[in-house]
Amino acid sequence: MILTGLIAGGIAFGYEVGSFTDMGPGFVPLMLSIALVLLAALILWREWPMIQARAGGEAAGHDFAWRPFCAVSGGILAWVLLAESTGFFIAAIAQVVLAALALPGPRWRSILIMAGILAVAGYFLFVVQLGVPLEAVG
Amino acid sequence: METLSLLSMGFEQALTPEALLFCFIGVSLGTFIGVLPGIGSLTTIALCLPLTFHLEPLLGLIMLAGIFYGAQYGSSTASILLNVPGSAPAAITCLDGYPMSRQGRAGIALFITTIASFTGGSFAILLLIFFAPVLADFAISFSAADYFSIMVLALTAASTLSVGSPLKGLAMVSLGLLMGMVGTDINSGQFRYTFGIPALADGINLVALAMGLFGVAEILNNLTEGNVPQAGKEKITFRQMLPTPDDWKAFRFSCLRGSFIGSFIGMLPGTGPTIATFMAYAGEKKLSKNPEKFGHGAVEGISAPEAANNASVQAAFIPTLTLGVPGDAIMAVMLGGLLIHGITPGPQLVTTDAALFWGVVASFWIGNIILLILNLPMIGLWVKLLSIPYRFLFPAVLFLICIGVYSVNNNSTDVLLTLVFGIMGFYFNRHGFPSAPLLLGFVLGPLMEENFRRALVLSDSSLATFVDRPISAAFLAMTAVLLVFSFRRKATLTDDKAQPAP
Amino acid sequence: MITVLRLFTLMLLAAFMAGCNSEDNVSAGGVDAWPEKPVRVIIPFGPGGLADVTMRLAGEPLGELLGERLVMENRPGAGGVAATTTMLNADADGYTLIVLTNGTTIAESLFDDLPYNITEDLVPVSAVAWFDLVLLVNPDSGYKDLQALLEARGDNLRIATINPGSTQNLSAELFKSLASNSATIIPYRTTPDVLGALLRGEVDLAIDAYTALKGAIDNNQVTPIVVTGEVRNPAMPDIPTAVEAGITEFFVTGWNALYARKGTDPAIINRLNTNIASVLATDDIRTRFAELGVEAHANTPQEMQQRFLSDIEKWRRVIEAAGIDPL
Repeated sequence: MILTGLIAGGIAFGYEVGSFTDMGPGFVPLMLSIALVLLAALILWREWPMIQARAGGEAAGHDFAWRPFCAVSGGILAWVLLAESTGFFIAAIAQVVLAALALPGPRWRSILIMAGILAVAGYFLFVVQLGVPLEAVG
Repeated sequence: METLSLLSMGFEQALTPEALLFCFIGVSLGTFIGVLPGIGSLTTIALCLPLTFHLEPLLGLIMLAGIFYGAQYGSSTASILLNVPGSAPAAITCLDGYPMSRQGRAGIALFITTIASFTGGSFAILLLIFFAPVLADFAISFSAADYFSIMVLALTAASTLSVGSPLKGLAMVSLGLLMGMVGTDINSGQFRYTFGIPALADGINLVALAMGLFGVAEILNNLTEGNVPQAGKEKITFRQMLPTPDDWKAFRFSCLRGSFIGSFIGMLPGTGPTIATFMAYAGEKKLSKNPEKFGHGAVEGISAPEAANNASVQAAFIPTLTLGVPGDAIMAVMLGGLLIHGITPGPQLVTTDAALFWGVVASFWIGNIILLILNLPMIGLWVKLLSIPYRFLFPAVLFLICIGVYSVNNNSTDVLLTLVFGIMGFYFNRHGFPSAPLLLGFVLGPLMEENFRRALVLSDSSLATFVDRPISAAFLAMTAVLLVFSFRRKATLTDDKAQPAP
Repeated sequence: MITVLRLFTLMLLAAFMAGCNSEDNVSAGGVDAWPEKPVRVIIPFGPGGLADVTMRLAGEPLGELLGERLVMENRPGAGGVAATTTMLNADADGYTLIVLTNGTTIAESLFDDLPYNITEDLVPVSAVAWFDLVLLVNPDSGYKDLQALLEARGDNLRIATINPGSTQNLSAELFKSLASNSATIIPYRTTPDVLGALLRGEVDLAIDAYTALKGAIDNNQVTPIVVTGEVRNPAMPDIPTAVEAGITEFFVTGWNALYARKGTDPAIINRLNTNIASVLATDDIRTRFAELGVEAHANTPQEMQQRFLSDIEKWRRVIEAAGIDPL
């Protein structure tokens, strides 16, 4: 499905690198890109009937569960954005709380307590003991 | 017999209360670090290095080495329980360890990996004791062409890693190889596929890739499918940890084969445990009478890689101690630790610093025994972890992944990449594309390209170098045999399967 | 048991100090009070490398002299870009320092658009360590000196170094342009790989830091034939310099130096500089550095600045001569 598009996209810049360099650094990536296109095409060809069948079924079937997907991604993103700017505690709490929202039924108290415990324990373990260079509060 | 008397002298050195204490500190710290996803032994060893400046060299080395191999024991724990590899080599343990855990056999899986780790470690230690100099000379004689041919074999074997369609497996290997190209090209210094992101200049971080593809992807999978693992309530008894006779049967030889492959790969400088574990797994699957069991909780699927993992890290000491050629970054740090004490590893180490050499070797074994004693009772504790409700477990695991990945390079971009790979792996899983071949392709890609091109430079662009060199030729021949073998088998398999297919 | 006790005291001390730091953030005092809290030192390499080990070794007594701990922070990757970017986010208050190496001067010409300008953004404090490169052959090859090697291998000379853009690799380029125009330079991933290549005899010559191969040299696994310093290396008084061996203009000395943000109070820089000088003059540090194969040697910020500028110029010429395009 879209996947092949994704792979093909990957190959597109494969060509770029492959063609502009003197055969050296671009050579192997180019070969690999070609191999990948061929394989992707072959898979698509062989699974075409199945994919069509599934596409029909999926429209009728259940929707993709966006809530947990966004919560987990959002949690990690929060960490990425906050860890170096606002410091360890805020980043850790934001990450844990966001991720925990993935499952319905907000039990705010227990989530917050857990986030707090994780943040404090994590701080002592990783920052104090293992020397990960992050500020407690940015 | 002289070896034995030297060895007993080594044990005298390693059995002093001080040495035992440092060995214990090292391996416990190592196991603990190993269980935590991402945080690797390299970071820990580097942090402890300054502490050893004040120690006797032997004690320092015993402790640092203990962290290193101790971490390998711990790294499979999270793979089995949560599908989060404690370190990249343990990613392969996810394939069969995690299914075992979801079948309620987590205790048995942990028991088996602990025993397999011990066996693998011991096997490599025996090699180190009796054959170190010979093996080191053999290992160092491998040239670029030979490395390339080994990689070809590994890659061919890897095509069996996939559970589903072999085509999809191959596509994933290619994608992995391509992803391995990201970063600075070693032959020309050219940046490739870095998109101007500084964090990519040294290549995609292996830890971020492994954590994303396995850990994050699995969490996404569980949550979106509404297929949340049920918290196990039952208390685990020692009885339930013990493998069944069938398990033992599967365990015995796979463990030995894993030890052998691990030792071999481990002593080649520049290869590392990830390749060892993947090759061991692929080998088991090839040899197995019912390969379809793999991926659904096959005992061989965890025992061979775990044995290989520990064998390879112990075997890595062979070239380091006897030739002064460290196999990877961790070994290089330890070498640095020795140099600071004015000890230069090399052919003379065994004679000039015999006490040190044999003391360290003896401590390896003691350390492995301590690890065995330490880890077996811990199993019950680890399994209890699964009784924590998933709603609390998964945010905590994500937290550990975030900080673990961050700590590798102290870099936020790596954490972001973990998320990207997580979503990628999640997407692939849903469409039946296996993640393991991608990871192997990623590890092998740069090594293969580099050695292929170097081999050609060394041979003045003559392809004949790959068959002229006996080692290289032997591996290529093995690859050919493997290919013929698997095609014949596949032919029969597809015949069988053709019937029930719609 | 004494060592054990010492270790435990150390650990306790470390834990205690770590505990104190977090509350110590109440700073306000001026230059006289500096330092009031631990000083961060950013190391643009992973742990265990030469720059890391030397800085950690010197950092301990330096911290004692200053009265505050030095906290090492490894920010490896991207040829130092990651580390320098971190550095530029810090204030010019003397609480964040960075280790630069001669590799930094190479990066100036090798990379097209660096997100910073070292000479405008940072100021030198002092050099910390100096080290030579060595030219090595396999003892079985029978070549006793450079001339014999060049005569015998001439156009087919194969040189192993680590990755392109490194000091070692560019030194090989420099060597090639001065001594053997048709030599092939074969890049390897790590120093152990270079050593392996030389041991296998698949290359004629290896160029690498003395430090990295000191072990192999001491073990007679490889034979040094030339050192690249301007004077002979005290550890190997019998080995001639490149100039003595007939290649004029071939000298390379690597260095690690401590830098601060531009705008840092000169009094702080001064204090750091004098303290580094006295630490590096102690016997303990000198012998420890010598065991690693490097020379402990401080200099003034002015000397360091000159050295930095002249190295930039030198590598710019090498990179141009070798026909390497900036990235």
